[in-house]
Amino acid sequence: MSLRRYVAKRLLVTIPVLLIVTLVTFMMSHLLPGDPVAYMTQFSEIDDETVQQLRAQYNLNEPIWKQYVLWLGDAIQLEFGQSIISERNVTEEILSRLPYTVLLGVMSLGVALIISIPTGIIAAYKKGELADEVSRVFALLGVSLPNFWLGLILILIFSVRLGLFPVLPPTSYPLLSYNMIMFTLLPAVTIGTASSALLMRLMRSSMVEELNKDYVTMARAKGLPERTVVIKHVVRNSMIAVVTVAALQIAFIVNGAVVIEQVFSYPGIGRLLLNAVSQRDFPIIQATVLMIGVTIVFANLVADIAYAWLDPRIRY
Amino acid sequence: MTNQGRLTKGISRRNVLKTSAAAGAFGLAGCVDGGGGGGGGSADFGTLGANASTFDPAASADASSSSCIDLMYEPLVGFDFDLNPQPVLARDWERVDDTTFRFMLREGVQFHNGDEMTAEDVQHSIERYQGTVNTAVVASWYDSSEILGDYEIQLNLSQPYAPFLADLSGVSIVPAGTTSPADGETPLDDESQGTGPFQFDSWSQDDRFVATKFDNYWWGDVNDAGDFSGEAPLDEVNLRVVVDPSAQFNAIQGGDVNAINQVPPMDVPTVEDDGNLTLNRNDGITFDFLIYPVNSGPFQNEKMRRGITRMIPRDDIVGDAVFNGTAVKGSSPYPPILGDPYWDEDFEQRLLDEYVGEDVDAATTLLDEAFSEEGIEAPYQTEIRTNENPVRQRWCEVIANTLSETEYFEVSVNVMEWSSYVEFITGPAAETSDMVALGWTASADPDSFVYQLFATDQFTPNGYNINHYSNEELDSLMQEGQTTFGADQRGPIYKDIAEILAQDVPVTFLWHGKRLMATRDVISDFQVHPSASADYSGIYSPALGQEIEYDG
Repeated sequence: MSLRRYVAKRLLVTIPVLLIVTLVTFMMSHLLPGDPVAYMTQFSEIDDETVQQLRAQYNLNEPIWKQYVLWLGDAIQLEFGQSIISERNVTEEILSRLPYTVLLGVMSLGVALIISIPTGIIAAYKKGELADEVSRVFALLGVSLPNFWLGLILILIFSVRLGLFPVLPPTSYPLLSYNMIMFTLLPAVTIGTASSALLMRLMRSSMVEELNKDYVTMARAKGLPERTVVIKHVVRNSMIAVVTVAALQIAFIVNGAVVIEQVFSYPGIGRLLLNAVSQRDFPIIQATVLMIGVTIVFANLVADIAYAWLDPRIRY
Repeated sequence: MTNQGRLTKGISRRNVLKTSAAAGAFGLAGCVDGGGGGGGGSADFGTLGANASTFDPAASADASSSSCIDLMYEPLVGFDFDLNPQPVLARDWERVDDTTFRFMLREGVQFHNGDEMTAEDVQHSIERYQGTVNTAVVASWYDSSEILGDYEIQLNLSQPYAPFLADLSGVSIVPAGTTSPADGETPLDDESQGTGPFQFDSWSQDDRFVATKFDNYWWGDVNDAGDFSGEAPLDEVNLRVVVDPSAQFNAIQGGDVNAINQVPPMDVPTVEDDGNLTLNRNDGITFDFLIYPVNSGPFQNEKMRRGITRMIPRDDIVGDAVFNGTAVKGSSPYPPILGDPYWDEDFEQRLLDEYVGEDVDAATTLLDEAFSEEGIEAPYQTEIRTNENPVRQRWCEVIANTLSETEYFEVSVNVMEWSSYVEFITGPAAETSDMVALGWTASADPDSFVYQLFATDQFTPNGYNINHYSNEELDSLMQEGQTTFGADQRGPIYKDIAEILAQDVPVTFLWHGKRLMATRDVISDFQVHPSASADYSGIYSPALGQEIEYDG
C-alpha cells in the first residue's frame, strides 16, 4: 500500500472516531445536572416563560439525540454557533485562545524532548552507572509529581521568591514576544517534565536494546569511531519508538494544559473548556473537545508517517 | 453597588463559581514568604476573582462584573465606606411623604458620550431596569416619576418602602435612549455610557479588563474639589482575571499586581508581616449560616436545631481553626457595620447567652429532650451540603466533626459542584433532611438580611427562603420594617426579628466575614468597601469620601 493510500485510509478511520468522541462528550455534558439557561438565570427573577423561551432558542427542549443531530449538522459545515453564556461566536472564541495553547504545547513538547533524549542516551550508554541511577530517580519523580503542584512550586520559587519570571502572563505583549515566551517557559517546564520522564525511560530502554545488537558490534569491530556508532546508528534506530510515543504525548500535553493553564492564569483553550464545563456552555464544550480530538488523531497520524520516514523498511 | 440580598460562595456567587473550580484542587500554595522582584513590565492594578459576564449595570449579577461597572457608572445615591448614604449624582433629596421623594440633581455632570445628565436620563435609567435580571432593584417600589425640571425629578413609590434608598443605590444612571438588556441588546458591553471617573477600554475573557480615565469627570467642575482631586489619580485601571486566591496572592507578592481582592484567611499573617504589602480591612455585609430542614424529621423540633447550634464552636472557627480573625462571630443576621440601632454588642451577647451561643451543657439537655420527644436513636445520621469553596468546606468539616464527636450525631459533609448546589438549594433543599451551609450578601438596609430568606412569600424558587420556614409573627414584623421610615423606629422592629430568629433557629447565623484586600506600597490610603461588588471603588470615589494616593 502506498503511503498516500495509507494516509487516506487513516483519515477515513478518524471520522467514526470523532463521531464517537463528540457523541460521548455530548451525552456526558448533558448528564451533568443543570443546563446553561439555569446557569444564566440562577438567582435572577425571571419568569418561567422567559426561561422556556431561552431553552427553546438553544434547542434545549429537544430530546438529547435530536440536539446532537442538530449540532452535528452544523458542525459538519464548520458552524459551531455561539456561546450560550457570552453570546460570542464559538469559532472566534476558540481561535483567539488557540495560539496561546499551541505555544504552550509546542514549548512543552520541546522541553520534554530536550530533557528526555540526551538523558536517555546517557542513561543507556552509562547503564548501571551513577548517571543512569540519577536519571531513573528523576524520571520517577517526574512521573509521580502532580502537575499542578509542580506548577505552584515553580511559581513560588522562580516567580515569587527569585522574581525571575512574572506570576501572571504578560498578555499586554504580543504572543511571540520575548516576555510571553519567557513566561510560557514555566508552564511548559511543568507539563514537559512529566512527559520527559516517560520519553526518557523509553529512549533508554530502546537504546539499550539497540546497543546489544550485532550490527553495533560489527560497526565497532569495523573501527568506526564510537561517536559515529552511537549517534548515527544506534540513536537513529532507537528513535523510532520514541517518536511514536512523543506524538502520543500530545494528548497528554493537551490534558495537562487544561489544568496548568488554570494554575498559571494562562488564557488558552484549557481555561475556556474549564469555564464552559462549569457554566454548562454546551457549544463551547463540544467544539473544544472536537478540536482536541482532531489534534490527537492527527498527532497519531503524523507519528505513523514519521515512523516510515525514520525507518525506510517500514512500508504501508 | 449591589443591593438585593444574594447568595454567596464566600465572595459572591458567580465570582466564586469559577474560583471553586480551581480552588478545590489548587488551593495549596501561598505559605512561603514573599521575595518581591517582579518579572519585568509595569504592574497591573488589581485582580478579579472571575470573569466579568457583562458591563451593563442592568444585566450585571455577579461581583466581578459589578466591580468593573462600579468604576464607570454612578447612582443618584451611594453608600460610603461606613455604609452611610451619600449624595452622588443627586445633590440632595427630600421625602415629601412616605411614597413621594424628590431628587435634586447635580448640574454639569457629563456622560462618557459628552451629553449632560438631566432628569430625563434618570427617569429612563430607572425604567430601564424593569424586566431585566436586576428588576428587583426597582420592582419593589417604583410606580412612576415626574420630571420637575432639568435637574429635579420626583419618584412616586407604589408603597411606603423603607429600603428604597438602598435599592436606588443599585440603579446606575445612563443616557436616555440607552437600550435595555431586557430588549436583548447590550451596547454597553463594548462602550461605557456612565458618568464615572473611568471609561471602558477593553475586555478579554480569562485575561483582563481595562478602563481609562474619563477626562471630563464631573467632580472638579461641580464641586470645588475639596479634599479630593477633580479627576482619578491614575490614567488606567488594569484588572487581571486570577481565579485562584493563592495565585492572586502570588501575583501581588511577585509584584505583578498592586492590589488583590481575595486574600485567603491563612495568608493573612504573611501579608501582615510583609513590609511591601498592606492589608486593608473593613466590615462586610455578608454572613455565613447553617440552614436546617425545618419541615423534615427531627429538625421540626426547635430543641434539635438549637441543640446543634449550641454545639458549634464559633470562637474556634473565627479564630485559628479557619478564619484567623477575618470574621466576627454573630448571633443575629446583622453585621456590626449596620451599627446602631440594628447592631450592638450587648444585644448580640444576650442572644448568644440566652439562645444560640456555644454551651455544651445546654446543648446536651436540649438534644436529650429533642431525641426523646422525636423518638430517634443516637447516633443520628445527617449531612451538611456545601459547595467547593475551601474556606466554607473547612468550617463545615469543623462543625461536622464537633457534632460527630458527641454521642448524638454522625455528620458528613457533602461537597457539591456550584451549579448542582444552586439547583439543590433553589429547589429540592426544602424537601430533604440535610443541612445546608451557605453565605449571603446583603445590602445597606437591614431588610436585605432577612426578608428574602425568611418571609413566607419568599419560598424557593421565587425567593431565597430555602428551607420554607414560615412564621406569621415574623412575616408581619418584616412587613412593618419595610414600611416604617426612620432608623429609630425601625431599630426595635429588626431587633425583635433577630430575637425571634434566635429563639426559633430556622437557621444558625454563624459569623460575618470581613472584607480584605491587600495592596502594595505604591498605593496608600486605600479603603475596602463593605460590598464585594464595589472592590475598586476604593481607588477614587470622591462623592463617597475616598481617593488613593498612587505612586506607580
